[in-house]
Amino acid sequence: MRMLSALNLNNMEDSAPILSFEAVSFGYGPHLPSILTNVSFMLKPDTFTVIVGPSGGGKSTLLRLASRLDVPTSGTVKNTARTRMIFQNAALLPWKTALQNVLVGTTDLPGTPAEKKARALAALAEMSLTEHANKTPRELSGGQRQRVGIARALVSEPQFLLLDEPFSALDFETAEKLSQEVLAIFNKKGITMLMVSHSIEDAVLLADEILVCAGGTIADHVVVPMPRPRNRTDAQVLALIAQVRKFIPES
Amino acid sequence: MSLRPLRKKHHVLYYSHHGRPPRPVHIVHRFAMPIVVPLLLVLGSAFIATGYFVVPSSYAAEGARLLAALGASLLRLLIAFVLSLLVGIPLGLWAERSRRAESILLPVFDVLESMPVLAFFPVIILFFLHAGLLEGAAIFIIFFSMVWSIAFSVVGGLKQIPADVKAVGKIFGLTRWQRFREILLPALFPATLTGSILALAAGWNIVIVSEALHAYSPHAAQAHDLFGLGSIIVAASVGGQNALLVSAMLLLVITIALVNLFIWQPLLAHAERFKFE
Repeated sequence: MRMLSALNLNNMEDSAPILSFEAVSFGYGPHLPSILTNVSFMLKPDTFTVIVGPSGGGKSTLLRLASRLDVPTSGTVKNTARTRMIFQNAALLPWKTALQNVLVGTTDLPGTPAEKKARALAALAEMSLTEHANKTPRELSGGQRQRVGIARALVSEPQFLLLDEPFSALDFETAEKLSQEVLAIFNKKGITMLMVSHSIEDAVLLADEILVCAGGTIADHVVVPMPRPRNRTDAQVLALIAQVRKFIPES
Repeated sequence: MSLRPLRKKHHVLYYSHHGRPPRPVHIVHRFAMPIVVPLLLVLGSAFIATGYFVVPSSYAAEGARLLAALGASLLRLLIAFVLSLLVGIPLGLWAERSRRAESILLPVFDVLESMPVLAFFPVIILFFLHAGLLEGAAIFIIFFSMVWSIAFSVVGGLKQIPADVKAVGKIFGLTRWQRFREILLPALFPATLTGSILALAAGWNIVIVSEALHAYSPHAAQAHDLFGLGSIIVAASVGGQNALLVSAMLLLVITIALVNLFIWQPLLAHAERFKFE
């Protein structure tokens, strides 16, 4: 189940990876300590991968590098897929309505404004937000805001979705519901997903693979073999949660 | 007049500080606080200083001249303010562009902001006197007193934008210009507005002296003074025309209060929707 050694890049030649990190190191300056050191992994298409690890371990930096927001100090990040991101606090623009925020996701798409508006409305409908289209983020609940963020990410039909702790700012019930919605989107659309989470439970419930990011590198890699949907109280799930917990230094 | 709350249509939304919901305010309170109270203060202090409590009717004829002077001063302020925005916003954006730029530019801004601009006013007047652009001297000195508030507020505003929101523009494929127009400028609106209010306050301070050029340069004569409310106040003060002085001061207070009520307060209320939680 667990692959103790670093991932063997040659094992994934059967399908072209959607993202690959090759010996990637990253730091914010030549005199500042490295945040990531010699990180190598790759993601196959249509997989759901979750990165877990202690705070300050480099999880979010991995996501920023995967999204090309940052450039590695050394090594190579390859990502040629249409990539979108869902943020921890939705990162909506407070002066725009839900519809206008989703339209931001259509900026680089071809089509007339009317066509883009139709797409944005369809994306909102898919997230059950039609009646909230003209509300600003302040008028929406935390869960509704996050769903607007998801609609914004999905409106351009991305191949690769990055999720930066999308449920951590929500209450348990909303987080649970939203994680099921994310899973439904994954099953329906087949978008490759890479999620950063502080919750090992979420990782085991959702992921095909779990990467443990600690000390600035991928310290461990766990394959989750159970079929989805998974139950939080299932013995196999509980055992795997306990196992992953042991790999994380601070826990 | 009863202070019983007026019917709903007479209630107005008045700016309340961030975090507090807008609340209906009685129309009497709305005008009493920003206009009547400062006016009473000015009238009271004017009476103590000059013995005049009300403006004598002989100065009613000066009304048109005072209004024209107010218009001239306002135009100077407006030109200097627009120039401050055009220079201050790019300066702030430039300073925030990189840590290196920030480490060089912010100390420079600090020094320039702290510089007593009136100490250099004689040199500035001399320069513009030679160029035949006395109006330029006044506008330049007002601009110089305003621009730093704008630049610093832009730097502060940029730091308030969450990193995730900055990332949205890049990840969702917005061009540099689209990121500036769609994200950066609206996000900077509340901070720039605060900077503008401070800038205009500094501008009102300086406009009084910027028009009385002869007082600051041995090369300038009284004839070089620029027509405006500031030069009238200085001349009336020096010439002992107390009633004119009080009239000009009252006009100044009313104008500042009206600008606050009908420009800054609505804009501050509007800026709430541009703030990040």
